[in-house]
Formats: sequence, structure tokens, C-alpha cells
Amino acid sequence: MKGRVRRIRVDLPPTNLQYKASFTYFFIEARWGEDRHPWWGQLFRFLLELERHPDGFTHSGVETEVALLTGQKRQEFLELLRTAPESELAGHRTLRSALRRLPQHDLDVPVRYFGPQPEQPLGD
Amino acid sequence: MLPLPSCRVGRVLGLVLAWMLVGCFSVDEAVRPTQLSFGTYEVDPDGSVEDLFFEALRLRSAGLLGQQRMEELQASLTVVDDVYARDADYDVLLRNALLSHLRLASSEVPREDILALEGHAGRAYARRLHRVGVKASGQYAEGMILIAGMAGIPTSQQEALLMVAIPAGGYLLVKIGGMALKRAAFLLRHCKSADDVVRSADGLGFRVQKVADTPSLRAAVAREDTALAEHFEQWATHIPRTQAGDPPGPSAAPLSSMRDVDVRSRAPPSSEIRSIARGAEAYASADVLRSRLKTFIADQIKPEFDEPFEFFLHGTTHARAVKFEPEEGRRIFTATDVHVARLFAQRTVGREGGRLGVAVIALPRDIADQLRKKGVLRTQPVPDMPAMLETIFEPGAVEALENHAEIQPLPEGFFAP
Repeated sequence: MKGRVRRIRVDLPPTNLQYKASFTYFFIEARWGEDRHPWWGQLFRFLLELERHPDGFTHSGVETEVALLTGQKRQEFLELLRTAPESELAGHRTLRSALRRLPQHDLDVPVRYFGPQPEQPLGD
Repeated sequence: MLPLPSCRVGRVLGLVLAWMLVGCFSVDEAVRPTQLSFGTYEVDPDGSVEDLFFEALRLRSAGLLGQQRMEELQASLTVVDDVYARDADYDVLLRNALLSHLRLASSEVPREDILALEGHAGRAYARRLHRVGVKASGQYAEGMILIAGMAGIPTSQQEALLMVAIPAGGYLLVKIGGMALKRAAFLLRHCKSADDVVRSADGLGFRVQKVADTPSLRAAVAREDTALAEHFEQWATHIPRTQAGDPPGPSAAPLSSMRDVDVRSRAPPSSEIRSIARGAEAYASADVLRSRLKTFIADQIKPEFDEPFEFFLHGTTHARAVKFEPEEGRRIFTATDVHVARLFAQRTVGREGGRLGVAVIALPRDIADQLRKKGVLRTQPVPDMPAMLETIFEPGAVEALENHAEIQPLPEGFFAP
């Protein structure tokens, strides 16, 4: 990826397997380690260490990569989530959702990385 | 089934069956044999929520809509109540839920009944022609509606009485005013017992009284409807009784009887089967997308919220939905109507190709309200289609979306026929 990863999205698999192709998007910003709590930086770095693969660009020109949390790495991710400070748990709905959902199954967890954002005008 | 002779009380009760058997005995000069399969005993696909709910009750009473189906129907209505009660299209979603279960009921009709229905079509047509010019209302008005174990009798189009006998003696009488019995049946759909009805009475404006004995009941009924009181003996024996041992009176503990809302009619089974078929047809042309979305929201989104929430649909391509992120400095265009979201998605697919996709963005209602106050969440008419509404997340909403939103793409195939 050209430039630093700006944001990571962890795709939480559904607990209802009828919708196994649908995920809840759990976003983590690179800057949260400094802006919010160092714990976010720890989580971000953990995810950066996964084996990533290029996945092209978004419609707005953002470069993306993907990885997969499986097996031991998945377990380590869950353990790391469990160390989340109370203050961060209280302020982040999807973090709480991840902690509730991931122990309920052992499905692989897709991870998507977003690169620097090019200048864009308003609009979709 | 409660046989009552044709008389004045029959005409009074005729109001019930006039609703229950709508189309069944009325005359329609325009009927054609080709319309018979669904035209004789039909439930109007555009009927009100109350009409459709009553139809479901009638089918259940006829044994063509099972207990489990009825319970699932009630559960669906509860979900709609919980999630969408404040939404503008609340009634539409209630109707969709009802039509959906009518469709499912049609697939559960035993094969022998389906065959009987097919064989019955010609005879039904002949019989209907025979009735041209015959004023049928009242002739078949022999029945009684049971709501939560209480006998329901309409005294006018906007008033009715609910009655139940108390084991210790006397009767409980509930006066329903300002609404048709069909509406009351819908509003009382959660009631399992006379006690539930009594508990709901205040909120619905019903008047509850307890009378000591049968003469007192006759007098109380006479004050409401003289004709009904004149034929008191003919129908009073059919008033159900709460189970022995149940404490009497409005303040009593819940009755052990779990009798649901029930409807008794003398409509032939073939007409009931036809009703189901009509429901199936109606569902096919009804709003499948809303129904699918409702199911998705109930299964996937609602469990994530303990508080009231709102959802918004970002229509785009499937590829965009897969790579979705709330980008700094960019608006997110959404709609609350799945058809508008689909239109947005179709436009994007038209520009970029690919398949339709939608990202569902759900927010706690208080967060959505805060964003509105900040001016970063606003709803407006779609500029080139002012009859439709779009809701726009301005760039300042990104942080709230990251912290508080439940964002999920709709599954592939959601828009498939």
C-alpha cells in the first residue's frame, strides 16, 4: 500500500448464520491511539501485523488491502479486545458488539485496510 | 359454531358476518368465471390492518391457520410494534406481516383441502349467480366472536359488548365504544384472558362493569341494545365462562385460560381456503422488499439495540457496499424507504455497472436526534424526485457513525425477485 493505513475495518460475522454473507462493520482509526486511548493504538498495530493482500481501490480512489483473522490470531484478537478500557467500551457500540459476538462462533473474521484518502469533493 | 335463528338478533349479529364474510354473500354483477379462483371469498389485498387481522382470525377459527402460525403472526406483529411503532409506514409494515403469514398459511393447507377447493370453484360460481338479487346480509349472520375468551357482540357499527360469565356468579361486561368490533379485536390481540381485556380497558376507553346475575346482565344489555336484549335467551347460553377457581372481577389475577382471540363463523371451508389463496396472491404483489427488510432488521439489527433506534439505507453498488467506509469530507446519501434506496442503488449501478447493494446504518434514536440538532443529519425531498425523501449524513457525522452506528450491508440477493 502506498502510504500509511488510515483506517481498519473488522467485519464481524453475524450470530444468525442465515445472514452469513452480511457483516457488522467495526471501524478503527489510526489516530485513535493518540486521540482517544493508547489501547486503540495497540489494537491497530496488532491488526497491521496480519498478512495482508491488495484488494484494489474504493470508488473514491482509496487503496485497500484485506486480511483474515483465523485460528490463533483470531483468539489473540479477542483476548486483546477483552483488555479494552472501560472508558472505551462505554463509548463504542461496535466494540461492545464485537466482544459479545466473537465468542459465539469461530467463523473467520475478514479485515479491510484503507489507505490515505485522496482529495475529494462533497458527494457520493 | 353457535346456531341462532334468523331474526332481529340475527340482523344485529349480521354486522359481524357482513364483515367476516365480505364478498361471500354479496352480489357482484361483474363476476366472471375467470375471476373465480380468487374473486368469490376474497380478502382485499389493500384491506386495512384490522381487515387482514380479522381474516387471519377467521381462518384460524376454521382450522386453516394453525396455532403455531397464529403465534408466529402475533410475534411478527409484536416485532413491528417494537421496532416501527413510530415510523410513518407502521401500518404498511403491519399489513405486510399479516399478508406474509397468510401466504405462509396457504402453503400449509393440506393437499386434500386444495383439491376440494379446485372442485368447488364451479359450484361456487353457480351458487353465486343464483344469489344475484338476493339480499343476503343477515341470512347467514349466525355466529359469535370470541375475544380472549369473552363473547363479543356488536351493538352498532361503532359499539360492541364483551361478556364473560364468572364462576362465582355474575358476569363481566365490557362496553366497547367508538370503534368497530374488528378494530377492537385487533387492539386486543395481545389479550389471552378476560383479565387482560379488563387491564387494557382503561387505555382503550372501554367501560367495564360487573353484574351480579343473569337478570342484571339482561338489564345491562337492554340499556345498550333493546333488540339484543329481547332475544337474550337465544344467545346468553353461549356466553363463555371463565375457568372454575379463577378469581372473579376486574382486579383478579390472570385467568388460567389461554384462549386466544377466536372467531366462529359458518362460512364453508372452501371459502376459507379461497381466502388463504387470496392472501397468497396479495402477498405476491405486495411489498416483498419491505417484508424482507423488516425480517433483516428484526434478526440482525434490533438485537444489537436495547434502546429505540433508527435505520437508514445507503443504496449503492454491491462492490461499494462491501468496501464501505464513512469517509471524511463526504456525504452519505441514504433513505428510510427501501424502494428509494433501491432507486439510488440502481442509479449507481447505471453509472458504474455491477449489482445492487445497500449498507444499512442503524443509530440509537437519541444519537440520531443529536445529529439532527447539529445539522449533520437532515431529510429532504430527492431533488429530481420530490415525492421521495432522502436523508443525508453530512461529513460531520463520521465520528458518531464510527462510535455509535451498527453498519451492515444487506445480503447479496436481497433484491432478487
